[in-house]
Amino acid sequence: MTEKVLFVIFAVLAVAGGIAAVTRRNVVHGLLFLVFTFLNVAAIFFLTQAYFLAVVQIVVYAGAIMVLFVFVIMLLNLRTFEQEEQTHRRQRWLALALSVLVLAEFVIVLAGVTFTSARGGFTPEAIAEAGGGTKVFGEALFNNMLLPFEVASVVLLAAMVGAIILVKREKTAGGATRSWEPGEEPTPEAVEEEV
Amino acid sequence: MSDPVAQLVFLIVKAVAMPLIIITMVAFAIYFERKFAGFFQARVGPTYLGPWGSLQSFGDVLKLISKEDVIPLRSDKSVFKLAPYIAFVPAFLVMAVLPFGPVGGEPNLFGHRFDYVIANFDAGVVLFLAMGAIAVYGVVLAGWSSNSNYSLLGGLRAGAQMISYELAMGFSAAGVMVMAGSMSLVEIVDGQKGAFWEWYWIPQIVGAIIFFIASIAELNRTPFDMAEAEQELVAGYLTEYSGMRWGMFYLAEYVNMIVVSGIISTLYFGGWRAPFESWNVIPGPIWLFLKICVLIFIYMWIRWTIFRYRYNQLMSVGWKVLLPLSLANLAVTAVVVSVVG
Repeated sequence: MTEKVLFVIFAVLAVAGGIAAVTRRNVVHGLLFLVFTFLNVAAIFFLTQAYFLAVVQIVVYAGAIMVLFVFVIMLLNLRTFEQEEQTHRRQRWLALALSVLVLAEFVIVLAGVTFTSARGGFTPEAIAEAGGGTKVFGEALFNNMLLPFEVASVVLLAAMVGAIILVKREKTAGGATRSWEPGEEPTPEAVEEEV
Repeated sequence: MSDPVAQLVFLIVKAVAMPLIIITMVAFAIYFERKFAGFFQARVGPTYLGPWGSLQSFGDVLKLISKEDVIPLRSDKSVFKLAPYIAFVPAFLVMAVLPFGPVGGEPNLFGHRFDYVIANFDAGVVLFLAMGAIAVYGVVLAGWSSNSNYSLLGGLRAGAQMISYELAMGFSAAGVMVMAGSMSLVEIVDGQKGAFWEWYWIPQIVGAIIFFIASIAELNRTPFDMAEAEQELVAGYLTEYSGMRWGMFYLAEYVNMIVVSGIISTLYFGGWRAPFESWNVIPGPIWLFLKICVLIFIYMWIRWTIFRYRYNQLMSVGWKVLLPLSLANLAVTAVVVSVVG
């Protein structure tokens, strides 16, 4: 009973945070609501006793959004961004079509799921017997889920290579000037150049 | 009283008592910081309020509360007000997973089992890292919302520095997790049974040193207090804050210091265990308290002895020295543990 009440509270807060995140005109406020949503999702993971997942949710998303936040400050001029009317009008229809598609996908996937099948045999008792949530999670990740795991790591590697290439290009264009501003996090390459 | 009710009562007592104890410790940590700073610089430090000036912090809090609450006109007011709380709260949440005595076993209090930890779950170390990630927000948002160049630079420096050193910190803590075979702080203490030479600080000496250095950067203390560097940035992200809002950042720094000391004691120095097994007649919380006090003294000693690093030096130490070393430490630990058993 307590769990159900807490679930409803956190779920409502998460959805409210998500709505606020996309409706705020101020980008930083939007980012903060996004963090708020992720924290509530982490709380729901805590309720399902997936402690490791809950904590990793906070580490990964809080860290990722922090980087996004720094980029917003460094790269976008907030005031002009807020005043700007919608310039990408054609994107609207594409966005609408894609969101309907994603919603349909969610409905199809979730319609086929009952609570017992969602558990997949991972009852709290079975997990405790197998040596705790972290261990069960790790074994699942590196046995059954190895392929998606490796695919995700390749995608991340590609993103990293892309980021490094962007930084490199900027440096050759700027000549002898440093490629990072004071206060910004320099890439290891930029530091190497400096020292 | 039935057992679930008793456990609930214990839980509430622990959850209320822990923050109060920490706040009291903070008051005296600030007093000792000022006293030590005085001694290191051949001064006397605070002397007026209470015996040897020991009540100085309480006077300071009264002063801070009664000061005018200045909010800059062009600042982002809601975020400006929110930031001190974001800096303040995560530090306390970490205390929930820190064991300060034996957990489990026979009933030991009024016929019920009293666990010396608030929440015992299998990802305690990761929770500590997660709360570190949240605490960055307090600092960066404070810097951004003030709408001042010094604040923004300080906030961004703090953000970059804390994100960089978190990596080295996480990897060095992973060495301990591999040795204990668990991420639960309770089980990490259980893995360090016996006298002080059986604790993890000897096999994990590299990890312990990296963790300690990284923790100074996480705490934004000298020699890594680039975020507040007075000579360059006035007071960094704190420039526009005054009164109790400034006081909350100040308190958060000391709460964090106590919590990180507790985590280092637990990961590397046996947590609540006594240095010799026969000394375990003295209860666990006292040993943990003593270990935290020693570590806090070392933090203060370093702060008033070593000069501030330059910003790019800080970054190159973090990325080029500490991170590779912590990775090597983790790799060696993993190989040794899997070969030896």
